Amino acid sequence: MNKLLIVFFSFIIPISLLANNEILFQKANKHYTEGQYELTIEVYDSLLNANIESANIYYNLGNAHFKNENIPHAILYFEKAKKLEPNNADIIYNLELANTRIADKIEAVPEFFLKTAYVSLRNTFNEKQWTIINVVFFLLFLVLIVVFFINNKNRKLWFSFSIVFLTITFISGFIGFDSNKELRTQNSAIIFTPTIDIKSAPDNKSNTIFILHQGTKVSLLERSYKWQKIRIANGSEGWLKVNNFEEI
Amino acid sequence: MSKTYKTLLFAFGLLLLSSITTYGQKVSFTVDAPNRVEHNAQFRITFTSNSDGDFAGPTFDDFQLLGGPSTSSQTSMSIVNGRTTKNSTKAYTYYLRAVNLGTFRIPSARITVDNKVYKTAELKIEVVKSVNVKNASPQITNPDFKAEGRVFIKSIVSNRNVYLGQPITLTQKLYSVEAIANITDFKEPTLTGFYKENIDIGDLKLSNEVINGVKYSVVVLKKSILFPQKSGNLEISNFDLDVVLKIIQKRKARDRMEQMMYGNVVQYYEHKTIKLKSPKVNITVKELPKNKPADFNGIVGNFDMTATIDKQVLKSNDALNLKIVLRGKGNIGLLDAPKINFPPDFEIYDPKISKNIKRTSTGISGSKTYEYIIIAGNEGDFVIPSFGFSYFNPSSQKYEQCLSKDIPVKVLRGEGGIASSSTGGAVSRDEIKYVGKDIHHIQLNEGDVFTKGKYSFNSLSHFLIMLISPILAILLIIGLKKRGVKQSNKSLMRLKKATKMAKKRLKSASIALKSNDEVIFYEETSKALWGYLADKFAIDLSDLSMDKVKTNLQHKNVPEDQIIEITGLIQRCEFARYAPSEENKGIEDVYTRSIDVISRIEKTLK
Repeated sequence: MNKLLIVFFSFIIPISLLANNEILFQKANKHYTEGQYELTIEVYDSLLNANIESANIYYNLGNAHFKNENIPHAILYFEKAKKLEPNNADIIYNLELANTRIADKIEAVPEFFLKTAYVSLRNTFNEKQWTIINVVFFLLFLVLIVVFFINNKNRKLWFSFSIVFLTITFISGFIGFDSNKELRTQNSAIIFTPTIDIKSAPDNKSNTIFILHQGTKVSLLERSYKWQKIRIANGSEGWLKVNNFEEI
Repeated sequence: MSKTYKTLLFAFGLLLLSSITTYGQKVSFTVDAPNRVEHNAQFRITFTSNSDGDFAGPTFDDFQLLGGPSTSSQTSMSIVNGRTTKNSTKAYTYYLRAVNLGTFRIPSARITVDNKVYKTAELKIEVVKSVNVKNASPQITNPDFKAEGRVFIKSIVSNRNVYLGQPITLTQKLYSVEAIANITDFKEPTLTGFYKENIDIGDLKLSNEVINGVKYSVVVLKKSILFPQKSGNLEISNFDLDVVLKIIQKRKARDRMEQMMYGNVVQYYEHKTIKLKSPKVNITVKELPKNKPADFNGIVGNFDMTATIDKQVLKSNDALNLKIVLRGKGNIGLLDAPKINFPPDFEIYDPKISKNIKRTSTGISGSKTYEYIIIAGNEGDFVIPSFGFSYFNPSSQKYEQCLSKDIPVKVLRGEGGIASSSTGGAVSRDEIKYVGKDIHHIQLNEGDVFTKGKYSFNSLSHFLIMLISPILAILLIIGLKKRGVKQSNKSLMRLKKATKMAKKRLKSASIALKSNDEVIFYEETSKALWGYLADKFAIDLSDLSMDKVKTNLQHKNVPEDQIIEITGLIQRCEFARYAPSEENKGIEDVYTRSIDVISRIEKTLK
């Protein structure tokens, strides 16, 4: 019974949070339409400081930063929004547009086509949706298994359906796990320093390999004290100090 | 092989030698100047170099530079015994005048040839008193004469405290009480931080001004408009002028002849050259206020704009004329055409620009006219949206804006449009024109709100659902299975019981079956069947009839096939009892069927 209560409350709490913050959210939207972007950003930030997040808050905050000519911040928040809702067309469009406004143009290395296909499959739903799919198909599988054991007729049909559902459960479980891992780990970042030398080693005296500008997205590799190893879209790697970027 | 190698080496050596002869030539750089000059006399200094290079001349602090450096070059080439020598010299000449007495140093000049710097020696020039002047003027000059306060020059500015970009009028004037014969050596003031435009004042005109009760003749030498380009304290430096004055001199008559003609004292004019220097003028340039409008372009002044179109209604493919007139006072030269967002269907040609800018002593004013020719494309109601520009008005100390009104244009269907639709029916279609690109609008609802760091997958609820639901399913399966087994057991037991009872009733019949006594078998079977039915319905055997059995069985919901079976069996037994047949094959069959039907009826009746 207690467990059931916990399950119940874990669904209820987000709903009550939504009611409290809806007013603030609408206030920020109003500022945005009036063109007071500084104020808009302030209100959205206060929403995020209340320890909640939503793709729409991040997206709107990104928009406000974009209108305020602060492209690196806009990109950071669009990326954060995309992380929560990878299949939202508005987010993808605005992120692409913001990326045309930064100094660095990097040709991405073509990925293995199966990986691209997998990522696009994973990005069809967000982590929550994958969890729901996982649960629903698992429950369907269990129902069919029960039917299979009880009913003497059409047993073959029930069995084959249950196998299909079990397979979907496993696949959605795997993807959900992966999508959860993606959400949990901060493996990319946006450069915030206007111009930064990327070094060959975690050392100020080492050679500069290339130069990046603000707004560029980098993948985070290992970290060594105050230095971070990064990789950019074309595969080049280098080191920079940790205070030059912000994690997505 | 080795021969060719040697020839090559030889040729290379020759080449090297010849290059040495030309490039190895020594650079000479000399100076030629007199050691001693007379006071106020002109002289020249010549620097000569035999190669071309970057020349940097010395500064002549103690002399007046009259001109220079003027350059002259000469080249000579001579071929002696097949050897070519090329000589070129370049001379830089300065014309100087010795203005002060004493010995003065002239620093070295420098020339850079092939990244090497060559210097001349320092010079010393002694300026001595001129002997001629002493000889030529035995007369005493007018002892009263003093230039101070009687002849001076001045820079006059219209405003000493201005905003960045605000024009100032600079007037350079010469004041004099003395008669002036000539003006020479006008030297412009250095103006750093200003952009200057000259005002044409025509010929020099003489006017009168009274300052402190003294009447001066005044000549405006030059007028210009200055635009400050940076903020802070800017300086208009002094300007220099040499003025030749006509001074009345007196001397005693030299001889009788003169005495007879002019009297004892002879008056005559003497030309005296005076160097004048104007005072410096400081100007404070204020930074423009911070709240600059986005379209502010450094325009300072007071402006006005009119925008007119020649017709409000026109047919498609006709031309429309938009005339924008910008009028005002200030740096109108910097004023560009305002940016207009024409409807994308309009075809715009580059505007015709005409300027009418007047530079007067009150500043720059005038007008700029832009004439646009617009071809209307498709029919419809269009609006040329409001356009304009911002400027800073120094008198109100505020940014102001010139804005036009929205100009509505109505385009009717032109002849061309009708013609094309009537001929083919094919309407010319245009691609949608994308005017701008912008981000999508914000989301209006909050969407799914999560607590930060809270995830659905692997969450407690997810984990519990995945754990509990299979346990529930297993429990459900086990429960349902158990109940099914119990139920099937019960019916089996009941069947067993009923069969046992039927066998008991048919005990004597079975004995007869074993002894193969047909008559007794049928009698016993019939008795057992009747007895069973009588017991079941609690009816006396004597009252029992076939019809009663049927209705009773039907009443108890016994299936029809069982009723038919039992009644059929009874009938068969009765029939066999009274009309025994030869065959006794059927008796075993009758026995099993009787047991079967009794147990089945027993099961349903229970």
